[in-house]
Amino acid sequence: MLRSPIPFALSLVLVLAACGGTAPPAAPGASEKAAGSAGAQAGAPKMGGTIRVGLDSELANLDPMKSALVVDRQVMYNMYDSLVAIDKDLKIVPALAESWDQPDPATYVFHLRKGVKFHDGADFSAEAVKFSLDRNRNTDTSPRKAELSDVASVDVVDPATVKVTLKGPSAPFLATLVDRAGMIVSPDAVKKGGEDFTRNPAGGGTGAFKFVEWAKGDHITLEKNPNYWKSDASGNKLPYTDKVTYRFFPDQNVRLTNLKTGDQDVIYRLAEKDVADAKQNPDVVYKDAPGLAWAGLIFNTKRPPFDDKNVRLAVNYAIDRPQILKTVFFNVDAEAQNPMTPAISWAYDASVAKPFSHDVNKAKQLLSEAGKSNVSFTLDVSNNPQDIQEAQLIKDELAEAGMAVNLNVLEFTKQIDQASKHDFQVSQFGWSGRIDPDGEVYNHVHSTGGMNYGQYSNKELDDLLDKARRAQTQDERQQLYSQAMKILAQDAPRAWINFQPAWGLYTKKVQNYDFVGDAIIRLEGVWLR
Amino acid sequence: MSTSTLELATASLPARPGAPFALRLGRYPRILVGAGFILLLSLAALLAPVLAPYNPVDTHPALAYRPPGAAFLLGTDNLGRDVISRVIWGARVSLQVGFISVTIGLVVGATLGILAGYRGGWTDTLLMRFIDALLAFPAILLAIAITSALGPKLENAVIAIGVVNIPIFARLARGQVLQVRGAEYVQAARVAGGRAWRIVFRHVVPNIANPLIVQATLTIALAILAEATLSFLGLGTQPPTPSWGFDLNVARGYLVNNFWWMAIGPGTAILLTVMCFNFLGDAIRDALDPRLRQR
Amino acid sequence: MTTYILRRLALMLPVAVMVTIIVFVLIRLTPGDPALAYLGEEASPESVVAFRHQLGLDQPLPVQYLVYLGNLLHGNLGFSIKSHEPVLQAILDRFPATLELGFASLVFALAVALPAGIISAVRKDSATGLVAGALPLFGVSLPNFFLGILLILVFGLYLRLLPPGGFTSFPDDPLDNLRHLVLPAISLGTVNAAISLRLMRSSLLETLAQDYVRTARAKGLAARRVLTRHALRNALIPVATVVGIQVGLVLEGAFVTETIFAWPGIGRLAVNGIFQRDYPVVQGAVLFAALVFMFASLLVDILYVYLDPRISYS
Repeated sequence: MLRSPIPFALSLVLVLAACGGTAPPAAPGASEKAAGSAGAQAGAPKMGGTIRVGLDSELANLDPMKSALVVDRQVMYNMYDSLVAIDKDLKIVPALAESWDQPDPATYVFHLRKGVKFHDGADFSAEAVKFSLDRNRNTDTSPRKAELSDVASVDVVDPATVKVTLKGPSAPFLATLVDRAGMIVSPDAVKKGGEDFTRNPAGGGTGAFKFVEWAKGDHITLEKNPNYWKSDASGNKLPYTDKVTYRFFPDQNVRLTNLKTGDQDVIYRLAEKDVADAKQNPDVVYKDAPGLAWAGLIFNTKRPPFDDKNVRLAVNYAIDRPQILKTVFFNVDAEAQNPMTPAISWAYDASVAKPFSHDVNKAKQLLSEAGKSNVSFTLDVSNNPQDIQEAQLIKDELAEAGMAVNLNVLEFTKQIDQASKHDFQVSQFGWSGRIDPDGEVYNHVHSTGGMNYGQYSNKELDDLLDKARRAQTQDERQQLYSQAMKILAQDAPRAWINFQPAWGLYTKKVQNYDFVGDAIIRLEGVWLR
Repeated sequence: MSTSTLELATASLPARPGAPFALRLGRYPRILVGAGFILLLSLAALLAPVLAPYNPVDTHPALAYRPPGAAFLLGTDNLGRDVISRVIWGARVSLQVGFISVTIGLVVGATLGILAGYRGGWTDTLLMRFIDALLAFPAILLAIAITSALGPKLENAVIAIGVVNIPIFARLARGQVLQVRGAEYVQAARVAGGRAWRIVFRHVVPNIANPLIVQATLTIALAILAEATLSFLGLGTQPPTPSWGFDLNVARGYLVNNFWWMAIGPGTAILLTVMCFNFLGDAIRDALDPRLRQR
Repeated sequence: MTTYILRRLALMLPVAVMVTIIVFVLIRLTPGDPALAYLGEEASPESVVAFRHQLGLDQPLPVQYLVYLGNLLHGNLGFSIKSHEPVLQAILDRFPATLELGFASLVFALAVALPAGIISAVRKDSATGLVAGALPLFGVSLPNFFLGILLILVFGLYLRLLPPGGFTSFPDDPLDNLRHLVLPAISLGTVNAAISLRLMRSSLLETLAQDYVRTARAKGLAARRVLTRHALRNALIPVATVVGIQVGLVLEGAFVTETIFAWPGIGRLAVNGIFQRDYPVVQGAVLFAALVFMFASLLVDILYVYLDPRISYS
């Protein structure tokens, strides 16, 4: 059985604190050097080697325009750069755009970094930016189209300057650009690749690593970009390593085991039940941070019994969140009662974070007042062990309050399918999370939201969310979001249950791993012992 | 599911007229042992409400992940349920899956096979092409595809496994019918003007029963394994129904956490049950094989 | 013989057509929208509709089938909805991995089954013989995914002897490739080993009881000699043909084994395809597996005729 993990965890924490991670990249307008390791480091960076990364599923696309899977991003962030990036604190920092001005709230003028080259040798320029942004926002089948719907036009001012005009002020705009919507691709490479580009994006990006090959079902190989524009604090060109390989392990046990045995150097996420084991394993480095991802239940507000607010509130009171967090998530996840995660610290408001308590009597009371003391309904469950376990717990917890739940386990795609067709009563739902609160909330509870499968609509809430999008200061936005959270607590369109942390999981061989709370594996500053 | 290999194993059995061998069971201790175990198993399944110390469905999260001890002989699972109780109740699902799916395969398959063998001609050709088409699929894949198509539920898994088992019974029945067709007593019946189905029931069926019984027993073993595999892939039994395959799949995820007891219960149950049916099937086959008479 | 082969080949055609129909119907029946599966959890409704149209999923079913069949005859198995890869290419890329695994598992199966089978037959009344004879029962009754997981745990995690899943291709690094091959081959081959063992045993027992063997013993030949020169060769005939049939078993077991060990063969391709509703991939993989199996059966029957002079097919 497990030995006590505490002494080991403590010493690990101390070691990690001493080694430190990278300091945040330079502020806007400053030099292009990314600070290398701060504080004591285990020797000078060693050049060379191959980093082996284990992902949790195969990718579908390496073309930012087409990608819709969370796992695609893991590879793309190392191949492509966006105009802007984020630091450890999730703040926007320059990337391909050295600086930017806003002549008015709805216009951005980006001053592009000079001397950057694409992997195919072509020069990075404003033309490439226009090309990338336009194809993202104008292709009908692209998920980027909705993300960039606020963009009115993209104009080349000069080879090093791009002007983006929005339809109105949009606070989350820069955050959107951090991800695939803002990734810049080489127009030549795209034209040359044609339909095949997404599977063979040779020469397409400006990132630390360039694409070599994608052996379907097996692995993806990237190799060092010798002309990468970033260097470390001592002036050494990044990246340090020669190659990166990504392999796919859908089975979380196999994936974690591969990390433990050293067959993989870094892996992407693990199950909460394995956290204690990973923490105390001498070969594994475990890091976590409050995450952006949230999960819970979504109610169909247009179908009985959840068209009645009281039933929705009753569920929120009847669920025993602490128990679920303990038994299913081993207390690794944090409790969530609304989508505003503490990870986005400036927007988080503790005073509105936990409106519900575990109160079976209150739930019963709400139900009887609504005349629904013996309500029964079907809960759609995703077909994976953790969700099934959680659903069974929820079923029994709701039974205590007099609600009879029928579990319906569905294939993930079928579940989304039914949800999008509003063919459900209550369903499990999770969201991978975005760095801006708008990305955490808007599409899920705004009446026009693309993922508002429960068809929830509250005009007051809509107004607040729209205002929060247009607002200019973080204080203003925080207040608006806090008010929005209060409305969500009254209407209970969903029952949020947990926030999943972001994890850094790698072996002792891996040095200088830059762990950011968006759970993206960034490898440019990594070197291998 | 090794349809073809089993076919090889049982095809050599000649159809024999005469009294069923059941009367001579006493001479075959292995059959008694095998059948005895299965009887015990069935009894345990029937008496589950009485035998099982705890309710297998109710969740008790505060009791989750307990190792084996006084209160719970094989510990508790990830929802605080007693492993032993779930294993006992799980016998119901496994036996049901085994018997029902094989019955489907047997009845439909044998009917098709008898039809094809007896009628011959175009009926034979068409039916056998269809059977060949079914046999061309790797069996598990066909079961997965059918269950996915019908929807992941236990009932559909049973149907899927049943369908997958049709070809082997069809082939077997047809082969036996072809052997019997030429026999004198059948010819005599036909000449005497007897109706086809009567001839079939009175003469053909009793004589092909033996190899079919052997096949059925062995196939039940495979059906139980198939249900485990389907549950492993997320098709088949749905929670919270106790099922060995499903529970083994859940337990699999916790092996790395050292919660080994969650897997031992259902895993051993599957192993022993399947072994029993295989053992029994082998024993019956050996008993019926005239070439092994001396042993 | 040639006529027999030609006739069999001709008969395979209608069966193959029926196979495609069965597959097509099954996959279409499967609930779940491939457009959603492709576009991912973050797709917008408009892009889903546009995509369905692009895939021709809004055409009536018979039309879709005929289009599919026509393409098939041109060697076009379609494109993966998820990865846009040509399905035929995807299958051919992954088939060598399954082939390697299948071959290795059969080698393992024989390496275990033959000696164990011989021992259990020759020493059938001793303890070793009884144990060896009881092994097959165990081998066919153990769920192969359970065996796979246990192997990973013991050899991969506790003993750290072998990698817990994954794959390196042979040209890249032969030794690493073989390291990754061991556990899945054992997991996949155990059922085959059990069956071959049982058959070897019963076949050898039968042969040893034959008159000509008794005659050889009576003539004074040493037991060993009798075994190797006379009995074994004849006893091996049924086993040899069963090995051919076991190709089907390997194909079946591969689905689960490849998934557990993250082995990139067509088994894993098909399973992933089913769960992702990647229709073209599943149709292609299943069709491919079925055809491979049919050809293997044909080869087996030919082998059987060739090896056993008592059998003849008109």
